[in-house]
Amino acid sequence: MLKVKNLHASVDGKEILKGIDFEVKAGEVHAIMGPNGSGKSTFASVLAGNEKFEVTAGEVEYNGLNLLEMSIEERARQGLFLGFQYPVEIPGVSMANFMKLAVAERRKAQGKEPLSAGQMLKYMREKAAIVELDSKLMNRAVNEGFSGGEKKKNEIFQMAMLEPELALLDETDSGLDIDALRIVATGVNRLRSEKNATVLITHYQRLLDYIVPDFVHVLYKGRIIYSGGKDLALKLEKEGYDWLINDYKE
Amino acid sequence: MSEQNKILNDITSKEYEYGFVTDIETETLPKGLSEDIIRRISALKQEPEWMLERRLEAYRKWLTMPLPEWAHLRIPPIDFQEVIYFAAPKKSPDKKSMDEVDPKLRETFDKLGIPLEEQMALAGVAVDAVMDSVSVKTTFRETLAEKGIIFCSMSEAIREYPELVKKYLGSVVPYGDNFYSALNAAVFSDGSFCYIPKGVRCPMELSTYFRINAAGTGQFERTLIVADEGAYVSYLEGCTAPMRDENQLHAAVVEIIVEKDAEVKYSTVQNWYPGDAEGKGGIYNFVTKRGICRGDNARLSWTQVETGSAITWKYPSCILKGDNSVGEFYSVALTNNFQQADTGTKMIHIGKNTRSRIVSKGISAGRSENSYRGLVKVVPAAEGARNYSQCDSLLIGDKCGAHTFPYIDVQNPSAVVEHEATTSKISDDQLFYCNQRGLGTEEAVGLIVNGYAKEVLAKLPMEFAVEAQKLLSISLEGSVG
Amino acid sequence: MGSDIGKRTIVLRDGDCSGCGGEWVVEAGGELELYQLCTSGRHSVRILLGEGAKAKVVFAALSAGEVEYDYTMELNGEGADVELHGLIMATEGRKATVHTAMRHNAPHCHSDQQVRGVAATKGYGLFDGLVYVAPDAQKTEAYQQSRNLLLDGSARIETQPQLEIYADDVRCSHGATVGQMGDEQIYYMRQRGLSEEAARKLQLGGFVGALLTHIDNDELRGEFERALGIDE
Repeated sequence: MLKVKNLHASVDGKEILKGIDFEVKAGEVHAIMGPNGSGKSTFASVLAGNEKFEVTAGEVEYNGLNLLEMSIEERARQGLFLGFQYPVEIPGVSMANFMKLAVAERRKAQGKEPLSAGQMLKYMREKAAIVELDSKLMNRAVNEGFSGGEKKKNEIFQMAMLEPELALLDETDSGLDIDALRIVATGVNRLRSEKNATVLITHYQRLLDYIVPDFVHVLYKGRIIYSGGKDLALKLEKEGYDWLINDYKE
Repeated sequence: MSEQNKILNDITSKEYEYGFVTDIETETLPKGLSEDIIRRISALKQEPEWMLERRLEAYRKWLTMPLPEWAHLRIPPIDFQEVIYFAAPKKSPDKKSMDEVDPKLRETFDKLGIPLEEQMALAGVAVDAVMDSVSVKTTFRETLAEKGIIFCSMSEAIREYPELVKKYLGSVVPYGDNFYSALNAAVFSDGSFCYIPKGVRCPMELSTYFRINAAGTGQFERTLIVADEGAYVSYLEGCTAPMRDENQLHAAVVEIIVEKDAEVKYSTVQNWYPGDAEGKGGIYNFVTKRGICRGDNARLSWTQVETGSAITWKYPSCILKGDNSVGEFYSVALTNNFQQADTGTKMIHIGKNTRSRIVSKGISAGRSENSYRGLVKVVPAAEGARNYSQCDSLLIGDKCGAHTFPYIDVQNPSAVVEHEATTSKISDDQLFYCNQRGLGTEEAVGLIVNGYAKEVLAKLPMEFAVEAQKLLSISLEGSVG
Repeated sequence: MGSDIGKRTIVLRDGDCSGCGGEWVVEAGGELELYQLCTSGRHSVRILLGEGAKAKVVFAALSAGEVEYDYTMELNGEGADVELHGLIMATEGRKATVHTAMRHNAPHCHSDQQVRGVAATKGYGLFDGLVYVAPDAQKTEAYQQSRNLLLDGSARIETQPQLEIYADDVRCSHGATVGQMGDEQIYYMRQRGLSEEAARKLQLGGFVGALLTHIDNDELRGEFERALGIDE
């Protein structure tokens, strides 16, 4: 599904990603871990096409498409979803209207008919229930006045609405209490299938108690320096990153 | 409440500390303004012909200009023919050298806390002391000269560094800019000139201390500061005047040129005589201050603590021409009794990614009027310009006025300009809280006002910050009502 | 033009008030709602409020031609209350100007002004709004907010929010912002599959549409919606 080869990216002339190789197949769940500032969020942003970052080298293939040549919205319409660490507030733009437009674009790309107003309403209620999101929030502006937990639930709700093939969840667990974390994780698990894949970006083991990954990778100083199975996360939790970092030569 | 009134009253009615008169013989020109007076000022200062020509040109322009009337001020008519435009302390005959200062003058400045002797000067602040129309003494000149820094009176600069003066004087505030700048360009007396050469960080604070002493005179100082590429200087200005029943005119012009990568900080503690509690006397402080960030990455910062003057009309401004240049304006303006102040700044964004910040704290007490007036302008070419303004007003008593007049003009869509203003009073809850913890109301008001002004005071150099804090408390004496 | 006790609604449109305006007196305890939707000409509206009187003003100044609104509110009775919600939309090389003067002449009054401005290609939007608090108008609460959006490099916004205050026991504040569409928001919407154009349109609609939340009458709201070009 996703093949990243030797990806380099920089912001304001400073190189942050220094040659990432990474592969995801349908049905898999990957976790990317690593200390703060190692480039985890940058990696997700670059895959989503954030224009703040400049890709200086490398290739990314996504379902046979050259991802790096696609615009932000094309990537999204092709099923690449980024769950933001800090979802932005968009005053004056209602959730319902926003979702209507986004779902229509996604369905168009999938070759599906647009939903009628009634279908849309039903669909929205159904998906909101997955993350126990109050459907009253649909009448509010996007993320405006949402609590931290509501914002994160809202991200997973939108993910459910858009049925992505590849979901990148950037620190989705940060700032959540245990109940919200459980709800978010349950939502993600319910959306897992043979056809889609999830990449979790986190620096706590906590989330991985609820969403069990197939692979765990350690990103450090802009490179993936170690990959392993789900046990790696436990080891990292107990022993920290030092044993890896000390071995690592730039 | 009436108890509180009484205390506020006590706080704001304290006598002006610097109101004494130095008994020194003064040479003055006859009052009134004419081409002849201008020629005589120029001759007394031994100026070259080109300077006289410039003065006369400005004078002719001034004659055609109307008084500015847009400010929120009630200015009694001023008879410009009743003003003495030049007054200088007479040199005592037994003076041994040019450098020696008349003991009476030294005494005056000592009394004001401004030592003119270098060995006495604290913390190495170089001072240019100006009494009425002339510079009395500039300290630390040799030390500064070693670094190539020029710090002298404007009169000397015109004679000694004509090329620099010609190049920069009037380049930021042209003589036709406004009524008072034209008047100043015609009759300006002394002031300071300062040039920091390329790449030099000025090793000490530079400071000019202005004193009006003679009766019936106006003071028209002119200051020019040039920071060449990569240079840095922090500059301070202080001013006081005797207590007199008449109003005296002070119309100064300050110009600052900041070249590429250079930085200038200009701080003012303005404590001209504000007039008495009935509004009699006091200085009319009509000042044009403007600087230009000419080169990329230049920075100019104005900090002012305005507590004096009967009327203040003053807008220290920044023209942000160089890309990435930064302009700042931090102001505390306190008015009490019958004082009036209309002060603020202009930030003109011309270069790309220019940034400006305005923090203004107005405090009105008694029957005073205090206005913030500011302009933030972003021209079409100023891509990525940013401004943030915060203008707060504090009212003490119900007979005063506090006003905020910001003008925002944006012509580039990438600009982000934000302005916020609030008006408040010292709450009874705050006072009660302080009283309950054992503070007197007067003390509490001083504390609250200083807390309110803290963000601005923190921008002043250390010694001045302490001075300014005291000044704020003193100026409020008698205002708690 | 007249006085009234009880509630009264006035709508000013191009057709019935080209270049006109008027004066309305809201007696003690009365209520007035005034909606204005004009696209050219100069209009001057004056509302005088008695004790406990209320006025709500909702306006859109759309520059199809040159348009200028001038509102003066005299809060003469204790406890009078004015809320004013407005939109200035300067398009196509035209100028749209709005002046407001909120004059608090009596104690315990409340006013709130929320005015948004949008300037498109060569448009020039100007807002100058005054809050005046007379001596003895104690316990005044007066707020004013001017938020503006420039859509284009040839557009221009000028805003002059002003406070003139002569009483000390008051709560007054004003704020003004000028900016552009948020890049972060555009990125967020594009990540969910919206084109950049759609995202910008949506955001502009949100900015402009905030006005509609203050119109209770469906028919009237529809009229404003169509005029602002944000009806679906």
